[in-house]
Amino acid sequence: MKLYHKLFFSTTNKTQLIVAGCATFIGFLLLLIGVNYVFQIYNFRAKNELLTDNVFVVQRKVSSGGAFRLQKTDFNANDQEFIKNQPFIEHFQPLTVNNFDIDFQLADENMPYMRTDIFIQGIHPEFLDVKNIDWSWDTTKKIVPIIIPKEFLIMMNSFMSSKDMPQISEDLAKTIHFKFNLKKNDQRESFECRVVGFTSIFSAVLVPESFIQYGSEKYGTEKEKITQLILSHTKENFGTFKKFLEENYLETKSTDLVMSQIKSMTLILFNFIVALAFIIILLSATIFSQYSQLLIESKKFEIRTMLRLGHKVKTIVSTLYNYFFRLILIINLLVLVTFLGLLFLLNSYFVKYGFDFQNLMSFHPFWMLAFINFVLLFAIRRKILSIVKQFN
Amino acid sequence: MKIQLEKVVPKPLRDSYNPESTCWNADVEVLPGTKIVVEAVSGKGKSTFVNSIYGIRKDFSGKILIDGKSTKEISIDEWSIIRSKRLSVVFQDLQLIPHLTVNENLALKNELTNNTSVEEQRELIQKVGLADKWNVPCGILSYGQQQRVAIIRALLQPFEVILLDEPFAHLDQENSHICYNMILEKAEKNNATIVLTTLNHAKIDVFDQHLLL
Repeated sequence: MKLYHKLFFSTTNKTQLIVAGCATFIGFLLLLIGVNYVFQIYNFRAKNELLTDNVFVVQRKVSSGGAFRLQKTDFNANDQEFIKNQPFIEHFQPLTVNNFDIDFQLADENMPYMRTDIFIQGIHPEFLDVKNIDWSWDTTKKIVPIIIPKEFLIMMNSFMSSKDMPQISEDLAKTIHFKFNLKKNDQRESFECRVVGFTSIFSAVLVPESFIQYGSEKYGTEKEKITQLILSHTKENFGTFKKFLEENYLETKSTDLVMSQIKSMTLILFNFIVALAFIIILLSATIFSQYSQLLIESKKFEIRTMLRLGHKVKTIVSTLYNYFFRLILIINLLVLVTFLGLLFLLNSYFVKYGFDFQNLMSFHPFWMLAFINFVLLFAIRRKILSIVKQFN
Repeated sequence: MKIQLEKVVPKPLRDSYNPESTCWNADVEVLPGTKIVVEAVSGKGKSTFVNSIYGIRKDFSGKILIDGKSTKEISIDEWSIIRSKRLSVVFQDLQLIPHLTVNENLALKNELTNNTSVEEQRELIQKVGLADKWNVPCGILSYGQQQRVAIIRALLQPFEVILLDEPFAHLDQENSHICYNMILEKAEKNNATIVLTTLNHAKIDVFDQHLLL
């Protein structure tokens, strides 16, 4: 082996190799960091509202004229069609609201009696910011699933706290038994309901659409009006969407707009890092490939002599390949050490600014790195083999 | 090892080979254990002859057969076995690695078969007057010294045929004699065939067969 090493590598110019090595190091490192945080953000999206899809609940802006019923506050069929047909609107759905009398009752033996009239909205599961729940209802089901606004729970707990009463956690709220009472003249019907999640987007108690339909058909008193719409815009059209709302006197929660801006920018940034990493890796792979070709070309005489002396192609290819394999292995080890160090550093900053990813890292980038290494080494081996065979 | 040439004509010599050649465009059989001298003036294809038999050149018409198989059909892996165990060669351009020392150049060949011990290698080197060059890179030796190293390298492996392409071209008479005797000794020991190309008529009488290119 020592002899082979002297034969092939003792007189080679290492500058290009160092450049290729450094580029590969930077490419691999950026890839690990970029892919790790893209996956972390996607996982984070599943648990947090910050990076959920671009869903907005939109209504007309209410002026003082609206208070005296001088201003239109609902969306008729033409209005809906106009909004739906905008090119930047990805999803559109009118929000169905109860047009029947309904009250909400605390029906738990362990809780004090409470009963109040309530306003509910039916929503399609596609627009929910609560995932992995059974969001269906029909008359054969005893329990109606409901989702309540997070703000509602916060408000309740602030009130409980001020009255020196124990606060209600999200988990506890899910175990409490509630009841809906629907009524029209002498007709009455009760349904048990249970909290299955909390929403940050909607400001009303949410139920499956089928429950609203059932209530409207059986207990409805007037023609239903659409006063709110659920919209989502295509990712790259946040600016156009915002402008459209302003021009048409429509409004949504301003925090939602800010969040949408932040999430767009964050994802763009990390996607850019991943794209950059791929470009760097591609470039370093090209440099490596060229270096291996140059090395082999510069050692043409040695390789040819070895073949003519009776050395096997396999031996020569293995010698050259092992050199690159060891080199890439060393680069990988350096990348992993640097990556772990940077991860601790970056994570401490993320935690400081409120991004607690729970897991320090995702394993996806390692699979990707292993795949890229495999492709790179395979390409180098093929290149060496094809060139060496020509020399016979 | 049986080598046969069937109407072989190198493509570059197609229009210029000697019509009186007993080798080109003729049927030639290299019999085991014989000593053959191939004679030609410069440019008539001595190296082409050696390189074609050794499987390096394939640009010829006709057929060269080794044990009945065309050299053009022998795979690269089969060549590595033939070249390391059965067919040895001294190239005209020697093909020594200049930045490797004498002992490393010999080791590069010997490690294929481990046929010769380091002591034997040192002894052979000493016989040709290069004992003090053992650890000297071949690139800084004179051409005559390099030629002696190349001859010894060819003798390290077991062989049934040894091809020698003007092996003594840069050697003085004394060293030519020493090297020739070493080759002869090894060839007789192995009952091997010697195929030697040369420019001149020297010692033609010691050969069993004389081919003219």
